[in-house]
Amino acid sequence: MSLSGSSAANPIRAAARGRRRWRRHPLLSHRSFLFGATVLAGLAVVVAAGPALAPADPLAINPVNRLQAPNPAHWLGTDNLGRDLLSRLLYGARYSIAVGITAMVTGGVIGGLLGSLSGYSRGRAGIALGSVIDVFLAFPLELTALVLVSLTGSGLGNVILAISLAIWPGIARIVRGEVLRVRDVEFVEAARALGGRVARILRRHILGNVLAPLIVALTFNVGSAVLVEASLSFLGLGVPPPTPTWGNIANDSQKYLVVAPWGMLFSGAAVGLTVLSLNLVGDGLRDFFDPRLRQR
Amino acid sequence: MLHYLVRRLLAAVAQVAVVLVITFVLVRLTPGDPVTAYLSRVQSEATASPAYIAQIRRELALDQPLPVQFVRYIARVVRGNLGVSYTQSEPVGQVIGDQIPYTIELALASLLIAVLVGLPLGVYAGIHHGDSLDYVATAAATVSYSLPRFWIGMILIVVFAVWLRLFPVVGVGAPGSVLDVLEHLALPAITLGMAEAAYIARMTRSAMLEILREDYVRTARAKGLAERTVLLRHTLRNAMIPISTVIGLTLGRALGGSAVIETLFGRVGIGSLIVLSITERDYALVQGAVLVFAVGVFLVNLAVDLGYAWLNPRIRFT
Amino acid sequence: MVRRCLAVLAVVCVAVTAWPWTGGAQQDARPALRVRLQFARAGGIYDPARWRYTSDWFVYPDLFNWLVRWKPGPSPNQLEPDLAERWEVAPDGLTYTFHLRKGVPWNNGLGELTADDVAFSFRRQMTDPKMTFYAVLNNVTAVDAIDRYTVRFTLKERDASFLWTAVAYRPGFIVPEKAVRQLGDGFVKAPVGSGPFQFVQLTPQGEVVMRANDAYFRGRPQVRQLTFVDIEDENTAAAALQRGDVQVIWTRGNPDIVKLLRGDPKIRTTRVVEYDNLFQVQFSSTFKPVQDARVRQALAYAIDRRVIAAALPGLDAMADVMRPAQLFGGTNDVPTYPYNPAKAKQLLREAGYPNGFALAFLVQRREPDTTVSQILAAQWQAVGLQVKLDVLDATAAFDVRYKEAFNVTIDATARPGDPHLFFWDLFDTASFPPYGSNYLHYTGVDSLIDAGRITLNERQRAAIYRVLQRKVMEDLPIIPLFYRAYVLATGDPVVSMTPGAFSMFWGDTIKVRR
Repeated sequence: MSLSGSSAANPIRAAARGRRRWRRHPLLSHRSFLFGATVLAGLAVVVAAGPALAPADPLAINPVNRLQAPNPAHWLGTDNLGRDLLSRLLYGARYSIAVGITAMVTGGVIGGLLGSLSGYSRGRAGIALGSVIDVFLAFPLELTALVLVSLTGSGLGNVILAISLAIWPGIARIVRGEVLRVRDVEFVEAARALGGRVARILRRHILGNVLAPLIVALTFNVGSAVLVEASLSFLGLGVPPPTPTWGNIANDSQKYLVVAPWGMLFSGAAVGLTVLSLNLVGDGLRDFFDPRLRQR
Repeated sequence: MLHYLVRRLLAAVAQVAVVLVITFVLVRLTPGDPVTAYLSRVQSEATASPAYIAQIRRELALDQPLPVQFVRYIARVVRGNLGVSYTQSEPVGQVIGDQIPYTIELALASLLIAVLVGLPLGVYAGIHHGDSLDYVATAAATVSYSLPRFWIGMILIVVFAVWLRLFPVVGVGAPGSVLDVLEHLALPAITLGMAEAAYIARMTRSAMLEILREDYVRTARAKGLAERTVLLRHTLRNAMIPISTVIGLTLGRALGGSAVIETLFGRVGIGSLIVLSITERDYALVQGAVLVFAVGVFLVNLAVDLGYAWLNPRIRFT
Repeated sequence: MVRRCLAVLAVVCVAVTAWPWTGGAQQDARPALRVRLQFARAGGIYDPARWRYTSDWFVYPDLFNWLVRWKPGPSPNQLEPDLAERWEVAPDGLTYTFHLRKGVPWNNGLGELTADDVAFSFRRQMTDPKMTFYAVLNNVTAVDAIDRYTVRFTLKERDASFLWTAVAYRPGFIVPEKAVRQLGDGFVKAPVGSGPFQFVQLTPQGEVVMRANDAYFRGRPQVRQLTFVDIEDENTAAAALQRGDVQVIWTRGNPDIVKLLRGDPKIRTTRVVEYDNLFQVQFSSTFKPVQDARVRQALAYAIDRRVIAAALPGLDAMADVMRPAQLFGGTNDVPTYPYNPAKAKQLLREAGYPNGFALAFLVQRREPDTTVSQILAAQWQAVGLQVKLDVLDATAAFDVRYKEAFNVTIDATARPGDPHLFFWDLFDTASFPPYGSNYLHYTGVDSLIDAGRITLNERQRAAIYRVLQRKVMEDLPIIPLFYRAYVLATGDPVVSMTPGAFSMFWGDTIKVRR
């Protein structure tokens, strides 16, 4: 397969031209990208229409029906308080995805800003900012979020904040790397020589080139955010009950794992499927934006 | 070289200091303190008059302003004294020293599994790019690191420890018996290692693909060198550069995931120690454990960077 | 030649079969057991006078003795001699004299346990304000060793609960004077006691190891060694038991695990209901709506305990009264509040809340609190309240309760044996936080509590407590929910073991298969 070479000055425009060539991408990423995108589309429908799709009230407690296996009345079974698992998972999708996206956006904004500033600034400011990024980069993702939420208390806001603070350094580093890469490219030098303002140069020339890797990084980070939220809730540090989130459901079900694994199984599968789709889409996007692949 | 090391060490000291300050402040801002934790446990069955409590707080210097407490703490740390743990009634250094080997053994075992499984898989998939095995391997790898680790762990526990009774469920094993330790290490290491193996496999595969496309490989092939020579001498060796970086990062990530995995498998170690000490508001232990952890992570990163520079002679220590 | 070979063979056979008796007599054939600690392992303080951690309390009864102890069993309702063979109480109730058993050895060969050790054990807790139970002993004016085997306690005021709470419980463990003086703070890590087991070590993995004290005055324990291990998760504890990694576990709060264990033919289970361990709804004095008794009664009428029971099947026992009739000082003849949501709404209207009110429900992040709180929240919402759950970890939750910054919460109060401490901690004016658990600042039964304490005649005491309970069930400063239960599960080679209540592990009652 090959795409005619095109200058990578603006990957977005190149992407538009390359759309025709999309069909000739390697079968592997093509299929998996489609699969991932389809799942995500389905997920978007669930998130948007959630309450309408749920067959039962996710908060309706009826312990007489507790820990049922999947059956015609409850397609995915019930939890320890007799609540319908399918409904809880559908409602939970909203929270888990919302947390993932919000954390990604927050982390992305912080990381993008700090990363580009660090990459673009010369001299001590740039190095100092770079050091700051490295400091926070060294914190392991999960442990950071865990410690933060343990200390600040659970609750939607705290969880989102904790996850954002855990993921922004990774994004910042990628952005910084890309900015460093294109900073000294000739047309930027020219623009600077012509007296352009920093912000304008950043926006016009650098952003275009940074955008592609940033999008890819953000896609993967939504996946990380969802995973971390699930781990936090699994440890009991997430959104308080009775609100269903996928991690909460896993946490509730964990105690009954040996006798009724449904809750654990389905909530974990939901998280896994979502993250998988995000990763596949991210892979596809990365291959798509990869200038080297396009040049073959 | 020396210049580079010194600069990195200075940076590391600064970084550790930042970690320490943040932990110090955060843990004291959390509602409750060690005295509260104690009271919550004894539940008015023991001496608890406000005067007594105030006296204890004075003795523990908990009534001093934060900066004062911090300075006193730093002064002690610099002299090598990490303080005394309230919950374990022992010096913090000793508690951490007792438990850190278990985290290290878990991290190393996970790394071993990750490398032993991921590397060959990635190499194979990279070489046989495009055929069905590549597809299966890549798919399996992607699924592996998309699944939540605690979920994988629970499934392994249920299947291998509960149903099949092949492995013990909790604990770290008696330190004297190698077999016992390995038995207890198996499931947690597999849990942590699987996700990392997937990651390594993917990185290896793409590194192999990158290099196989490089001109010098084409040249080697054109020169008529045996395929195996091409692979081993040119491809793999150059692939080791990004791969070794990933391996180093994997160690860091295994350390990071240790808290959840140690809690899940009932193991002692730095991760579960941090979680326990936060709940008990054991300030000295939280700070000590986080400090040791941060230093460990920084050391791993430093080793990765040095290794990367050593493997790739084109990099100067800029 | 053949005969010689046969002779050698015969000698060998005899030697082989005789070997177990000659060498084997030295061998200890008793098993070593691993036991699951019921609580998270933080601890390592083995001087009982400095008790701080629940997990440590688990092991004290196996290392030390009291003068008098509760008869081992699920509901402590009887006292029996331990180190004291017999005791007398003076008619005025101010003097207690104990006559010690003779020939009880300390397990490090330090000699015999005498009255001096008893006096020392109590005096050191009475004179040092930093000792954990300093305040508990503030009614004791003197502890004197009259002779080698006689000890006399002198009290300031009459206290019918003295034996239960001071002598047979927290501050009552007897330690050797010589060893404590010699080891000083080292005693905390290397205790010496007279109990059925002897402390060996606390391993770096957090396991507590004890070996049998063969000179124990009640007889040689049937196990050679006990190791207490910390397993947090109920699933893993049950799996460990089934797999044989541990031989004894206590499990709370997970009825399905219990069902699983009951179904396993190799495992014996015993359910223990702690009727002195009441799980209840508590109110804060800072939350206006619940200062009105009608509101509290409304909340009680809104609760359907059958739903809670269905969520915790076969485990905890639902409670309509504070202290049930099967305990001394208990009664079922009190006003109760059976499920009646219509009545609940009516009472709320009468109290001036026709549209309900907002309620912040403080919950600790543990079972059964999270399950029960979700059920209560749903039931209170059904009668018109707006309930929000605040889930915090144990320390943060306690901090909030300590500062009385909550509206409503749920918690358990456990005061075993004597009724006095139970009622005092919950309803006495002296128990306003931070001294006790009277969060509502209830003042309705002070005189009855005092009367109950100083009355020594059991029948009169029981009558006083009946009156007291009728009053508190009318005013409802707390709402009783259920009595906590747990299950003791043992596997091979344990044949039987007497379950203990309130974190008592009676190691010397373990009987193993021979």
